[in-house]
Amino acid sequence: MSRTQRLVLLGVALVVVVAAGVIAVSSGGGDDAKKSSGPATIVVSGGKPVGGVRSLTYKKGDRIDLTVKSDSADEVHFHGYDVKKDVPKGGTVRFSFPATIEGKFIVELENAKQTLANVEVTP
Amino acid sequence: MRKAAAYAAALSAAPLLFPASAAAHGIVGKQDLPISRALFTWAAATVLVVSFVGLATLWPTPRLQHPRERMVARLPKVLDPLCGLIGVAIFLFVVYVGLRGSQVATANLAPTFVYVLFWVGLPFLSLLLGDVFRAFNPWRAIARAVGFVARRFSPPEPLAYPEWLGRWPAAIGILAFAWLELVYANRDDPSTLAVLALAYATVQLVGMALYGIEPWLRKGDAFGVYFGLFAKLSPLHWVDGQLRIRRPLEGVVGLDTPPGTVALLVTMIGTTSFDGFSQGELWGSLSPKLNSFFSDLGLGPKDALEAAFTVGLVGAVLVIAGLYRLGVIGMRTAGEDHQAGELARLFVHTLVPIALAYVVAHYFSLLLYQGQATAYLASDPLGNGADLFGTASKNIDYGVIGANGIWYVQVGALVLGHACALILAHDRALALYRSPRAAVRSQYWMLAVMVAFTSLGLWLLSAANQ
Repeated sequence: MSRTQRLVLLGVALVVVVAAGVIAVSSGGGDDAKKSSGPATIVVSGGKPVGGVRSLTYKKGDRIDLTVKSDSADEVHFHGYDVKKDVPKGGTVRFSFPATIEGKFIVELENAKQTLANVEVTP
Repeated sequence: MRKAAAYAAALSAAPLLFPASAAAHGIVGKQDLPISRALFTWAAATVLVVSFVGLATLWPTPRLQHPRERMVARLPKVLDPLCGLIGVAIFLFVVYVGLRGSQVATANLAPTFVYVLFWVGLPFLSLLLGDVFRAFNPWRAIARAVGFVARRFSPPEPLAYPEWLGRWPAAIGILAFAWLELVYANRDDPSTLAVLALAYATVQLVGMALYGIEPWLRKGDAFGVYFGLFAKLSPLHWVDGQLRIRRPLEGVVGLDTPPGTVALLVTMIGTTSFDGFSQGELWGSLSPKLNSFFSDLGLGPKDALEAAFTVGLVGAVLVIAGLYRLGVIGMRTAGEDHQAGELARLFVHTLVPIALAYVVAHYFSLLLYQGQATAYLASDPLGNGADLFGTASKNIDYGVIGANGIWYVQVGALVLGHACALILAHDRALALYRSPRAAVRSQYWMLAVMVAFTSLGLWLLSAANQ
C-alpha cells in the first residue's frame, strides 16, 4: 500500500470521528432523557389490564409506586425485583420501593400469565 | 410511545411463548436496557475507524499463516478419563433432575444448566481455557469407554466419514438447538429438555459408532464443534496429552473447511441475531402479521406462533448467509481467478471471532445474572425444598453490574471481535493473493461484510431496534 493510500485511509478515519462527534452532540442523547412515570395505578378487569399493557419508566433512585386493582383473585409478580403480592378478588395491592436495579422488567398477573406493565429503570 | 405500543402488542400476541417473562429465555426476570443512541453512534464510528486505521497500518506480509505452538506441560494420563467420568456424572444428574424434579422451570436446575451454564458459559470458558468441553464431553467419554471394552472383541472397522457430509450435522444441530431455545413453546419444560438431551446423546453415540469417535466429534457433534470453534481462539491448546500455548487468534487460522463449515458459522451468527431481533420493535410489528397468516392457514395459536418464529429464525440465518455471500462475490472482482466457493471457505475462519462477539454481547448479562441462580438451584436441584450446600435461599443479586457496565462489555466485545476478524482476513488475503494490490482490493469487500455484521450486532442491541 502506498503512502498516499495510507494517508487517505487515515483521513477517512478522521472524518468519521468528526462526523460521529457531531451526531452524538447534536442528538444530545435525546432518547435517553425519559420522564419518570411517578405513581401509577393499573386496573385489571377480566384478567386483563384496562387500557392495555402499561409502560412505566423510572430513573435509578426514583421511587417505584404502582398500585394494581383487580376484579379477580391472583398474584401480582414484579419480576427482577422479585416482589410477589396476592391480590384478593376486588382488592388492591401496592408496590412501593426504590428503583435500585437497572433494566427492563415486567409486572405480571402470575396465574393468568398476563403482563400488566413493562417497567424500564434507566441509569 | 410507538415503541411501547409495539412492545405491548408483541407481548399480548405472544402469551404462550412468553409464559413467565418477557425475555426470550423464560427463566430470566430482567432484560437489558438497549444501548443509548450516543453510545451506538460512538461504537459504530469506532468500528469504522478501527477498520480504516487497520487497513492503513496492518502488516504488509502474512504473519499468522504458520501457527507455532509451545508445550508448557505434560498432562497425566488419568486426567482425560477422570474429566470424562465427571462429565458423564453431570450429564446423568441433569437428566435425572429434569425428569424427576419440579416441572417449574425456575425451580429446576436443568433449564438453567442447559441454557445458561452449558450453552452460554462454555463459549466463555472455551475462549479463556481452550477446549474444556472435549475433556468433559459425556458422549465422548461413554464412546471411549465402550470402545475400550469392545476392542477385545475385534469389532468391525468404522465407516469412512463421508466427504460431502462435512460439518453439516453440526450446522443442523446448532440450528435445531436455536429453534428449541428461541421458537419452541415448551423450551423451559425440564422433562422435555432431559428427554432431548438423551436423544441428542443417542444420536452422537450412533454417529461415533458408525464413523469412529474422532471423525464424528470433529465434524458431527454440534456442541463439540461449536465450543471447539471458540476454543480455537484461545491461547491454550490441549492436545495429545500436552498443554500447549499459542498466540491468540492463531489457532483459528488452521481451521479446516469441509462442506457445511460456512453454513455452521452463518447459522451461529444468524441465530444469535434472531434472538436480539425477536425482542425488537420491527419484529414486534412483523410477527403478528406472520402469525395471522399462519392462523389463516388453519394452525392453532401455538403452532401459528411457532411457525412465525421459525420463519424469523431461518430468515435471519439467510440474511447473514446472503451478506457473507455478497462479500465473497465482491472479493472475486479483486482478480486472480478465485472461485466464490473457495473464497467463502478460505475466509470463513474470520467469522469465528464475530460469532463469539455476538454471543458475548447478547448473553453476557444472562450468564452474570442467571448464572448466580446456580447457587440456589444446585442446592435444591429438584425444587423439593432440599438444601444440600446451604445456599438454597440465596437470591440473584442484580446489583453486580449496572446498565452502563453491560453496555460497555457489549460494545467492547463487538468492536474487539470486529478487530480480530479484520486482522485474520487481512493476513489471509496477503497469503492468498500474489499481488499486494489485489489483496488490498479484496479487503475492501471483506471489510464491508464485517462492518455490516458488527453494525448489525450494535443495532440489535440498540434503542433503534428495541
